[in-house]
Amino acid sequence: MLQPYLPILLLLIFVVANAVLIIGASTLLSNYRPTAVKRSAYESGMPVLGDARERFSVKFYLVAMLFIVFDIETVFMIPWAVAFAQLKSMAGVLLLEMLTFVVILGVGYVYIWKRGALQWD
Amino acid sequence: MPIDLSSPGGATLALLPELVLTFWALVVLMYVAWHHRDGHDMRTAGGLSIVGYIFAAAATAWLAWRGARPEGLSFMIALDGFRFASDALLLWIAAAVAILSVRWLIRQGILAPEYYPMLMLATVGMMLLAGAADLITLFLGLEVMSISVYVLAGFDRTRRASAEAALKYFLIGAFASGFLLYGIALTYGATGQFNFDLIGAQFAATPPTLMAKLGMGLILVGFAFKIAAVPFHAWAPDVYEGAPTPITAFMASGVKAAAFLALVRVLAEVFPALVDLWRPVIFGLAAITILVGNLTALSQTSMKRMLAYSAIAHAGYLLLAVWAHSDEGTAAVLIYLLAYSVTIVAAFGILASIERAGARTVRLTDLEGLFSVRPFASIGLSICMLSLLGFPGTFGFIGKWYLLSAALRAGQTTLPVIAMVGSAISIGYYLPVVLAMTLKPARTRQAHQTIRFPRPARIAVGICVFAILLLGVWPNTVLNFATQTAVQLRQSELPIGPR
Repeated sequence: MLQPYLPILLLLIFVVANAVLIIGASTLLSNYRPTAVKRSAYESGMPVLGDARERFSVKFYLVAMLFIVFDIETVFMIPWAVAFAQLKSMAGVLLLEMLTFVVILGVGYVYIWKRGALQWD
Repeated sequence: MPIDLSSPGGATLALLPELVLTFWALVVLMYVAWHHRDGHDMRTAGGLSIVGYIFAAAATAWLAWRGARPEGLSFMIALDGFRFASDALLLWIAAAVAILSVRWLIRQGILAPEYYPMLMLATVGMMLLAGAADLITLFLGLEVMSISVYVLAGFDRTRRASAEAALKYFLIGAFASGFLLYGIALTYGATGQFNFDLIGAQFAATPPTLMAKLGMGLILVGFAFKIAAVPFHAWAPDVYEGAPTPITAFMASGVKAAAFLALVRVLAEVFPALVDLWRPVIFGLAAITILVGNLTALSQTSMKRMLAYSAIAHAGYLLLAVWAHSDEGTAAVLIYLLAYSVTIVAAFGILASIERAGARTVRLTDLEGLFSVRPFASIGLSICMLSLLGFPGTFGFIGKWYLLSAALRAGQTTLPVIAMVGSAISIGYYLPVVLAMTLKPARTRQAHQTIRFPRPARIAVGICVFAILLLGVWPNTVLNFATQTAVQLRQSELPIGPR
């Protein structure tokens, strides 16, 4: 039953062995002479200013979320458009289904617009 | 009226109640987009949403009246009496919660009419969950329901308890969905099918593999989280206490009902061949849920928390009927869910009116001396407590009677004994509520001056309390209806095989 999965097991073993080999070899064989510059987060970049765990305005999350919602819609539409040519016999139904989807999305768009989610201030 | 579910037109017709409700939720959302300023907008949105529930109920009634049944395979969504009964149950719960919310939200200063479209979308999810005939529809319904209810639990967002409830519910709920999805994936891996009837037929023909058994186990774990059965119950008390009170009523009655209806359908249609495997699991869950729920409820002082633990105990009682795995069991689940939801909606309706604006909960001591000031409210709450207890003469008694007799007829004697012990324990926390209201004097003279019992809520609660009493002494119509419906669930699994 599990015979077809043998290559996956072999791959797993190889990956782990490879990682152990590379890290182990570089630890054992290399010289380690740290300086303050070498140990900084970006060795050749800007000096670090403060902590990365700061508080952001919640508006950024809202914008990001709205972007994802309206971006994912494309993920639905492209396969639909590609398959449309092959399913000509059901063209009317397919068109109706996508129109339903777009109308629901449109209602959501009008809602967030009227509710002021797209305004920064 | 046979409907070919594999054709687009047939599927649309079969999904009519859900589609009507979704459409109306969008209409209300559009109203809300322009009108979201004051109490008048809140009331209008609430009234519009109730119209939506009536439309959806009319669509359900039309399908039931025309005798809609699937032509050939039940594809994606079930079309039988059990689904129509489930839809009716869930729709009335949602409408009652909407009525209770209308004035309550304004009083609590929650002026966000998005509440009502959200409640409607949660109801759509519940209807899809309870009517699913396919593992994908099941998961879709569960997620639509859960995501809406996460938002509703945190709707009173300026209160810390509400935000905490939403976060806890979301994290645990996502975890539970993961279990369910993994179970669905394993079941699909074992059978190559998503359809309930086809999977059931396959299990009946060939002995299920280890993968199928694991899949069933994970699906059961997912459901156990949703119905808050011990040991998957830890989220329930905090979430029930923190959520806005009408939403607590919605979660305790609606969400639980939808999960139970789906569980009954899944066990009856997908896993009937594995009955010897899942029965011990249900047995263990039921026994420990009844005992832990009732014993923990004893030590609660907050009413919402006490009712949360009692909701856990009631899930345990319902598992008795799931164990029975018979027509009587299915009928008993329907009757008990109706009895429980009527009682819970009435009880939380009264508690919501007593709750002070901004308070986290209602304490048992807040109820002292209520009878002398508000006799009708305290009599109503007393009837609800007696119905939850299963006192003869109330609808709760009829429900519990049918649960016990279903389990007994299926040859189970231990669980009914445990349920009776649990009921005996529950006297210890239901009766103090009645005693506090009637026998103890009010703490201060100003106590109970803040109670506001608006007319819509008063009418809804009055109807519920009247139904508890009426159906407690004259349950025949409901019993006959539930019995006929339960037989249809069994019939829907009969036309199996290549067609």
